[in-house]
Order: sequence, then structure tokens, then C-alpha cells
Amino acid sequence: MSPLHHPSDETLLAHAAGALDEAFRVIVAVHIAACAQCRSLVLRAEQVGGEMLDTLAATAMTGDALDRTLARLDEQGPADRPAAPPPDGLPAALAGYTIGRWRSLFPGVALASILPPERGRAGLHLLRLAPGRALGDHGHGGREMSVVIAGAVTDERGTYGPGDVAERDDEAHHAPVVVGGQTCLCLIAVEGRLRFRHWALRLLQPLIGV
Amino acid sequence: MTRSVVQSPARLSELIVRIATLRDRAAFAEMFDHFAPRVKSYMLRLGAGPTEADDLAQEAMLTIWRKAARFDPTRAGAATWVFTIARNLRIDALRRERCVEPFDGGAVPDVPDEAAGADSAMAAAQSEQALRAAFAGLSEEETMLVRMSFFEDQPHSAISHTLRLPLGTVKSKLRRTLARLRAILEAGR
Ligand SMILES: [Zn+2]
Repeated sequence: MSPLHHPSDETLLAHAAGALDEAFRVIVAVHIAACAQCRSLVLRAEQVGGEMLDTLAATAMTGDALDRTLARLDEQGPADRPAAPPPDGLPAALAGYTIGRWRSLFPGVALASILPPERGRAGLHLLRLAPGRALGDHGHGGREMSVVIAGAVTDERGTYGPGDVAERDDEAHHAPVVVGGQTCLCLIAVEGRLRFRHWALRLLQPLIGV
Repeated sequence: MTRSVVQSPARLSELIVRIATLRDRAAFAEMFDHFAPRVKSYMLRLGAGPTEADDLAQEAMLTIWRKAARFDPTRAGAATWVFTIARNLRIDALRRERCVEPFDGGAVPDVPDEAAGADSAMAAAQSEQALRAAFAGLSEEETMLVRMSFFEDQPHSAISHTLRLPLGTVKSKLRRTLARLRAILEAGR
């Protein structure tokens, strides 16, 4: 089934332009692998990129650049080996990434970090929510984007199943809840720290690193 | 001396196919003359220093030589393919710069490439013409907004600075422009 919730046009354009932060880029890659519509939009945007590249004024290369490059043609390139496939059940876009240890945030909710948040860089985490669980009311220091890998969650904006993307860049708090009897696995990219409203979660944050 | 040869899209596609099938060095040199100076400009626009931009442009050309067999002329034109190569090299360069521990994921995976179905492939090959036409339908400011989205390190703030517009206005203008571009393209399908 194709996803119902898509990244914004701006996000897709930024993805094609190479301007997205790594964590967000992975989220979009997971979505477009499942969404023909967005895939063709990204391709369109890449064509815009090609068009732009072609119309850029040329900058002279250093005098011997062509000769130096020709001399390197027979060099063994970096092995074009595919990155290690991700563990079972995870999308191909996670190939090559190391998935951190699963840690329990609170009963029924666990998190594994893939990219820890750093100054100026969004964090990327896997989140596993048991049936009936909620992530806990939270807001964001910056942008948050998530994509569902398995199961489904719902918040005030709708229900999100596999491939569906939720994108937020506002200060609004929200509390997604798992729907259905299946554990929900999703990938979440967050700029800045998540701001949990509940004091106990805020207390735990330094320990769980989100 | 600036050797910047302008080639037709058909000729450029043919050159890549020649590189792939015949390992044709003359074809490569012709590709180099056309694309290396443009890729260098692209890297400079995105904030690379002159030496780094020159190196990245050479690296892009090497990648073209190595990956030529993966170019599918029915999917996208030569410029689009070269653009994605240059873009991915820049992403990798930024990642190397920032990564303290070595990243074991290798190069940026060509996820959309592998995943692209025949559905988008045909449409894409036919749409480059439509795209050029669509751009002709945009105002100068709209074209600039899209251009800067590709060629600025901090697109939103650069646009805001250049056009003297608040950041919020830039975002809504960009959103409107993209909607317009999408509408023009969909109407022409
Ligand atoms: Zn989509």
C-alpha cells in the first residue's frame, strides 16, 4: 500500500538538492523507497539540479587537472561494495548504519540511537512502542520528522502506517499513540532535544540521550 | 584558459555510454571539458575552497568513469546524473568533515536509483523538456528561489539576505513557487 502522509515539497526539494541534514535524509529515503509519487518528484527535482548545473557559469579547472584525472582512471576505485545490509525488518536506507543498544524509556517504549544529536546536527533514533502506548506528550527544540516502519500510530493529525511521514517544525506538543494490536516501530529524526512535558521524562533525558 | 565546451544533451548521454561500453578516454576528456568546470562552480557556490572544489570536480569525473555503466539514458539526462554524483560527493565530504569516528556506511547509497520503478523512469526521461518549458513560465524571482535552493549552503537565509525578505516569507514564497512548478509540470503531462 502506498503511504498517505508525504514529506512537504520543500523537504523533497531539499533532499534532491542534498541540503537535508543526514538524519532527515534517511527519513526521506525510507519514505521514497515506498512512495512512487514522491520518488518521481525527487527525480524531477534532480532534473532541476541537472538543469541548474548545466547553466552554471564554468570555473576554469587547474591547468593539469584533466591530465591528472586521466592518469588516475586505471586506479582501483574505492570498492563499490554495497554497505552491510540492515538488520531484519529495517529499511534498506539504514544499510551501513550501526544501530545502538535498545534502551527502555518507560514501560512499553524503547529507543535505539543511530545518530546521536550533536551541536548543529539532528539525532536519528529507532523507537519501539507497544500496543496502546503513547510516546508521551512532547514538543521540539527544532524540527522533527518521523517515518513509520511497522505498525501504526495516531495523533491529532491522523493515522500513520508504514512509510507515512510526519513532519513538524512548530513548537506544538503532540503525543502519538499506537493503534492496532501490533508493536509500532518508527524512525525519528529530531533537531535539538525533544521536550517532554512530563517531569519524570525530562529527568530521564540525560540518561537516554535524546 | 577556460575550456568550457557546450554540448547537446544527446551528445553528453552518448559520451557516457561510450565511456561505459568502450572505456573511451577521448569521450571522457570531452565529458571533462564540459562538466568539470561546472561541477567546480557548483562546489564553490556551496562553500568549498578553490582547491577543494577543484579536487571534488576531479573526484566527480572519476566517479563518472567508474559508474558509467550504471547510467540509464532512458531514466534521466546526463546533466541530472552528473548532478546527483556531484551532490553525493559533497554530502560525503561534509560527513567526513564532521565525523569524529569513521563512518562505516561508505558512500551515500543511491537509494532512489535502486528503488526507481519503470513508472517514474519513462516519465522522467520525457520530462526534461517539459521542465525547461516550465522554468520559462516562472518569474525571475521564482527561478532565483529555486536556483538558490540548490546552490547555497544555507538556502533559506541566503535567499532572505539576497532578496531582503524575512525568513518566514522566503519559506512561503518557496512553497508557492514549488506548487506552481508542480502545477505547470502536471498540466503538461
Ligand atoms: Zn510520498
